[in-house]
Formats: sequence, C-alpha cells, structure tokens
Amino acid sequence: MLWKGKIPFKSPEVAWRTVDGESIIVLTKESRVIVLNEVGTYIWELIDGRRSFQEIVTAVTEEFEVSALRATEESAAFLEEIAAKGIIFLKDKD
Amino acid sequence: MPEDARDYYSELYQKTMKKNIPFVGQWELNTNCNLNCYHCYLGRQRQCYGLPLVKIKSILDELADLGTLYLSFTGGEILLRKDFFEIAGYSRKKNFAIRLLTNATLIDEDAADKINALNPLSVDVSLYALNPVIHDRITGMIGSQELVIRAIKLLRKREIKVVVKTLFMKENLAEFNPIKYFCQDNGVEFQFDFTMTPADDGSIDVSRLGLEKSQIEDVFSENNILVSRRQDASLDALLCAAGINSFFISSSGNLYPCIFLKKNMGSLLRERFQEIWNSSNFNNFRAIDAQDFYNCRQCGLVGYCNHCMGLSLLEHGNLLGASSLDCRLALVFKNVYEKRRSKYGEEKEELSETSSHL
Repeated sequence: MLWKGKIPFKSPEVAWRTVDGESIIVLTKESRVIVLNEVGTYIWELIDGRRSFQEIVTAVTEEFEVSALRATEESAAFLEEIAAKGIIFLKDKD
Repeated sequence: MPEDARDYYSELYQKTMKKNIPFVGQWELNTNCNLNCYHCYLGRQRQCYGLPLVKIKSILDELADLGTLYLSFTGGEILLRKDFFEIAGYSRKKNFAIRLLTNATLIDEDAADKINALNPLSVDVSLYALNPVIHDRITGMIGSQELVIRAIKLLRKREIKVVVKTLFMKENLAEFNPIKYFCQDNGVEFQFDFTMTPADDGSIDVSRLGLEKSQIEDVFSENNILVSRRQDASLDALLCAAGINSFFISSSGNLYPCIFLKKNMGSLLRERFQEIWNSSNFNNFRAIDAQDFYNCRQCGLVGYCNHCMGLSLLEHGNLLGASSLDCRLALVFKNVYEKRRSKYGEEKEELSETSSHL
C-alpha cells in the first residue's frame, strides 16, 4: 500500500481552521476552499508531519470504533483524495 | 468514516454568521506611511506605529482559537513595520489565510521573496495611474508609481496573486483603461471603486475630489461593465457581515465591526478579544434590524445599494441613516442597469444579475 511506512504532512500553501467541528481548508495559490466532514476533520487534525499513516489509522479505529481494515481503507482513500488536491504530501518515516 | 471532501463552504460560512464566529478580520498594523495620498481616509492621523509584537502574537493566538480564518493586514504602510515579516510569518504558522494590503513601494527582490514564502491569498496594491505624473501627484511622492510597477512585476514573476485596487477620482479617471489593460497584460486582478470615504478628521473634500454621478455612469457605459441588481430587494439585503462574523482591529488596538464603521467596541489592550466580541456593545450592534434604516424603508434603490452603516455614521453621526454617497452610487447603478436592459433586453439582463465588479 502506498501509505504504509509514510508520514503525511500538510502543504505549506494551505491555510485552515476548524469551525464547529468541520475543517475549512484554503488552497492559497488557487483561492480554492474545501470543507471536511467530522471524520475528515479528525484525520486532518492528526496530520502533523510526525504521525505515520499507521498511527493515524490506529487513532481512527479507536475513535470511531471500526475495524482496522475499514479504518485503513477509508483513511487511505481520504488521504489520497486530499493528496491529489495538493493539500498534503508524503514523506518517508525515518 | 471519511466522506468525499466537499468543494463548497457556503453552508459553513452561514454557520459563522449565525453563531457570530469572528471568521474574517482586517488588522491595521500601523498608520504611519511613506506616502501622503491626498484622499487617504486616515486623514492626518498617520503616526501610529501599532501594537507591540508580543501583543499582536497573543491576539493572533486568541483569534486562531476563536475560529478566525481570513486576515487582511493593512496600514498605513505595513512594510514600514520592521517586524512585519515576523507578524505575517507567525500568522501563517497559526494557519490564517492572509492578504497583504500595501502601497507596494517598498517591495524589492528580497521582500518579494519573503512575501512568496508566506503564501498569501493575494497582495493588494494601490495603483492610481499608469501615467507616473498623475499617480505621484496623488501619492505625494515622486517616483512612487515606478516603484509600484516594479513591485507588481516582481510579485507576478513569483506567481503571487496581485490585486490592483484603484479609487477613481477626477484626477485619475482618464487612467481607467490604461490600468485595466496593464492588469490584463500582467495577469493582475483589477478592482476599482468610486466612493471616497470621508476622513475622520474631515480633511478630505469629497465633493471636490470625487467623481460626478454622470462621470461614473460614463465609465460603466464606455467599458461595458455589467451591474448587478439583487434579486432580494428587501431591506434585509442591506445588512452586511460587519460585527456578525467580521471585525476590524485598529493600529491602537481598538476593536470595530469594520474598517469603515468607526464604532469603538473596546480596547484589546484592556480586554481579551472574546470579552469585547461577546459584550453588550457588540450584541446591541448586532440587534440592529434592517427595518431600523429609516431613510431606506420607502427607497426604490435597495436592489442596487451597497448600504454602509459606517458611511452613515461618518456623515450623520448615527448608524441608521442613509449615506448620500451610497444613495448616489445606487442611483448610478440603477441608471446603468436600466440603460443596458433597454439596449440589450432580458437576455442580457440575466447575465447582469450575476456579474458585478463592485
């Protein structure tokens, strides 16, 4: 899997704020805005350039009480989607 | 589980209005300026060097916690602050989406690189004329226009979004097309305005410097500029976001609903932002109902009006009147709209419902 052993980090070109449980992300170069739902917001706030994908999946599994497989698949799908928009990037775990 | 990221935010924006989240702010970092523009709304009060860095950072911390996302930094001239890049850098670290409002005369290669590293939404630059003599006469500084043009090119070379903002007055009206074409050629957004804001100290002679109604109408006609008529022509449409989900911080640390609405709600030197934002001052202001706009109840121009309580306050000393500047501009818009409608008919009218430069 693409995300295994990787650490996601936020693009320096985004600005963001969580308002009433939803994160609003601004792509500053494009003046585009994306709003994340509650779960997306939860994952977004875990992305700090230090936590690995696996650590994020573990947190999602515990927070939303879902299976590890489901948390892995859906977290990966979500991260791939926002990575495609240039909002996050990946780096290798040290 | 995560759903698709949603590419819209109007729902969330409405939530910030309903819940009075201070989502959008403008911050006057200082009032001192290296130019001496004769139409400056600050009048002669241009000697405030702003709050100390440590105070600014603590306010930024609080604003981030309260949900502020958009912050515009304005002056005076913001780049005169020696700690400007520290302020802007800290605001980016706290994840604000920032705009910089500047006269651009101090932007050289080094400053352009530093601005680029901030990833601002835009740099909004004041340009009054492509003719340097006219621009420099307005700004009171010989050579200022050359510096502005240089700055715009330095910023665009780095693919930074630049917005040229021009206030048109009698002095620079003939520069409309040259500025428009310059912006087109350089990938720059062009925003223009015709409303001169009276200075707090009464030092601007609006009637002498500002355009006649017929001159504004001519600009719209000659440039084929579409004017919108609001579908919602009720009085409620005259209410704006000032003090609802947006605010203005002055260089001396006072909190206002808007840069144009000089109703001081409290001092950030004495109270925390949240205390002032939730105070009876703000709550009373928010309780203003559009039906309270006594001059507007029977007005047929509501659909064309950009009603500003701040202008009313400056002009009449109260928030609920109608500024003659707004009334005049609304009449201009109505005339332009109706002329265009009679010329092109309903098909074009539909287009004009959605398009406006103002």
